[in-house]
Amino acid sequence: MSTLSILIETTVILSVVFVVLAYLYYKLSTAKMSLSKAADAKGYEDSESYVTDMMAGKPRRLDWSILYMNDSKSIGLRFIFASLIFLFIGGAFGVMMRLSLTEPVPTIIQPEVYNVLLTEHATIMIYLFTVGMSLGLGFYLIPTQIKAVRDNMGNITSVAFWLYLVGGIFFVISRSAFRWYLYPPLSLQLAPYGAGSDAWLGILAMELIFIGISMASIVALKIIFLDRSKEVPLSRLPLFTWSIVFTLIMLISSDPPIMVALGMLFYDYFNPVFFTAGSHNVLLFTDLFWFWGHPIVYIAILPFFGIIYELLPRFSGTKIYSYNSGVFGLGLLMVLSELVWGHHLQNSGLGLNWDLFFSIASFAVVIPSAITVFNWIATLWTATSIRLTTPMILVLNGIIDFIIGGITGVMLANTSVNEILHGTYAVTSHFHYVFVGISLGITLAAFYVLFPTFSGGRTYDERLARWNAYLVAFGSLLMSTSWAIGGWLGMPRAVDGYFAWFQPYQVGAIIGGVIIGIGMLVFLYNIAVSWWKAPSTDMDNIIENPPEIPSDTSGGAIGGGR
Amino acid sequence: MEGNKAGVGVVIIIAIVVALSFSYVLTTPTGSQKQTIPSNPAYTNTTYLWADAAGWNFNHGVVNPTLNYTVGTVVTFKVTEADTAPHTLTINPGGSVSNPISGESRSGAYTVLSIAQITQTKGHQSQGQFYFSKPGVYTYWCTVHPTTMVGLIYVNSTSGSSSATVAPQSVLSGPSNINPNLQYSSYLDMYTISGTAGGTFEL
Repeated sequence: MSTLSILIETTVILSVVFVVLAYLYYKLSTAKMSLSKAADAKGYEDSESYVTDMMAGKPRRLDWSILYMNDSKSIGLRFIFASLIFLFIGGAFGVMMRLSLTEPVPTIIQPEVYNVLLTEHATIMIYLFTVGMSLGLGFYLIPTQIKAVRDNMGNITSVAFWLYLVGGIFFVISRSAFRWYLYPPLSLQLAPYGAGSDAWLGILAMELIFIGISMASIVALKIIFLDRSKEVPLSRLPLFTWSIVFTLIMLISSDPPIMVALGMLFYDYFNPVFFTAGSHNVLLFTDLFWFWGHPIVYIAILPFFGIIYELLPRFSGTKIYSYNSGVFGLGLLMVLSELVWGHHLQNSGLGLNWDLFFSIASFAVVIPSAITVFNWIATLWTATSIRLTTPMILVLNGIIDFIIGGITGVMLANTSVNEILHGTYAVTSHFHYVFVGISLGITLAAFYVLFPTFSGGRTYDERLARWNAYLVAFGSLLMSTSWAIGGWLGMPRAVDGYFAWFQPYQVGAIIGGVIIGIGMLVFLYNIAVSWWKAPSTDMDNIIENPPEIPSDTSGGAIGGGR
Repeated sequence: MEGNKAGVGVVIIIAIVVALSFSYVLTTPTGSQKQTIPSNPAYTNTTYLWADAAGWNFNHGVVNPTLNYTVGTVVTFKVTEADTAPHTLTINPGGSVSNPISGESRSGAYTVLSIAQITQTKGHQSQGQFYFSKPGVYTYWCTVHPTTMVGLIYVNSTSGSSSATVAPQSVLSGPSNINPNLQYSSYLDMYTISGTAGGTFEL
């Protein structure tokens, strides 16, 4: 291709892109203009407070005005739907990775592309999908749950959202191949072409994402603690709000180290002094990363524990068995999550004493997890009537998956077992049990519950939703169980090939992954078809407008706790 | 407003964005291209190389030697791992002494030996073939150590001609030519540990 044709093509493409962007900007500024005119007519100084007053206390449906209205619920919808888009991107990459492993040697895609898919799948799912969905559900549900009296920092949250989105786009464009934990000798290796050549953009994207989610977290905590109605004291804060509180405290207390480390890493591109291979500081980076990297995996599940706490009583017709122990379990998870980062580094040379400390601290995580799970089981035990709707099926599946994933996780925390199992598919199976069961499954459950509100009074197709729930649940179980067995036999993870005698376990995982993919396509089809129909019901949902639960729950085996 | 179909729009956006990012990532340029080795070549040649992060043939003769072949030669590269770092043997057309891996020359790269084939076992020898069907300058290099392990290949147009032959020379004698910071951070330890620094490597 000649230089001239490249120039012409680039010019045409850029012109088209800028025309589209200019049109979008025109639409946005016109909408903002009409909004401020409407605010003027109502006697408001600024359109922000007009929007927040207009939207306060009302169910918020999805429309394009979420892009310029800066009230909490609009921004929550932005986060929810942006992270849904990222979920599908990351999921497509994951399914592609599975498909590429149909044979022991890489056949469908090149090893370099596999590395990119691996990095993008993990990073998109953890930083963009789960964190975005947590913030989204938080911003969407919390103003109702705490009856917020003030909502005046929407413009800051809006900036945070756009930083997060731009970071996500940059990360996909960067085609990084340094895994989701950005270890320096690899992330500093600007491969001269193709995969990994834009690793610097990946680092920049991570920094943008971190700035965005930190800003949003601080604003959310401010809303919860300072803008709460007097009717909702801390002692009666809903459990979902508690889970968001703990999540966000965890987030903003543990991400400064990695943000600093990312800055140093970026400096290393120009003058390699901090984390170069021979400087003995590479282990320091892993510490700085995992000090954040362990809390992030709790950040990815705690808000969904909160959603389970909200959904269980609605579908079992009783109260949560013990509110106090629920709060205590979530809070203890927050505290312990800050003390166990070293179990990701048990074979990195921290020394036996530290390994044992982190191992024991990891065993201690069983206590809050068991409190939480037994709280759910006791709620189900004392329930008078359990309605097995689609969200409830997903919740039950999430609880089962969390139990399996938790037990396999405790096994990994054992220092001696970890020496054998680290870097095998056993690790992958552990966190996919939890992430697919809790993060993905409960996201789907929450989406189904909130669907009438999002869509302005439409109902989803119950039969398709059932198929979605069953396919995702079964596919996850098949995939993770195949990995667990193969991992205990020594199947190494994160590589584009495997020894041929691991074939059965890989085939099981491939079938499971494809089943999850089909299940998610059913979900997408369900949304499109259901949204196409005319609204047929009201916009209420059971999380924001809880139905009356009878105070007398004596029908259960124990008679109800608190 | 009651009957808006924003959700359908979101589904369409999801489909478009997923398709775009999917095709973007799957078309990541990689170092590997297809190459057919003729079964009955005009000439054959066997070249021995030592893969060392400090440069090809480091401690084994001239570092990063310039190689000369006749057009139509199938060269069998026998590469021995000299340290424990991952390496590749990648060849692409184009290049010059001053700028061996310039932007233009990166397209059309062919990885003769991958990281998996050059195992990180010291002393292990692996072999791969490359068919030089066209005359001109080629660059051979390692994608993991592109600044240190890089050298030139001259393929002349006619058999026996010496016009394109250049005497072997060290194109890049060491990492200190590229980035002075690497001297103290990455490579200092390597030499002190292996004990081969001596007077050969200027600090």
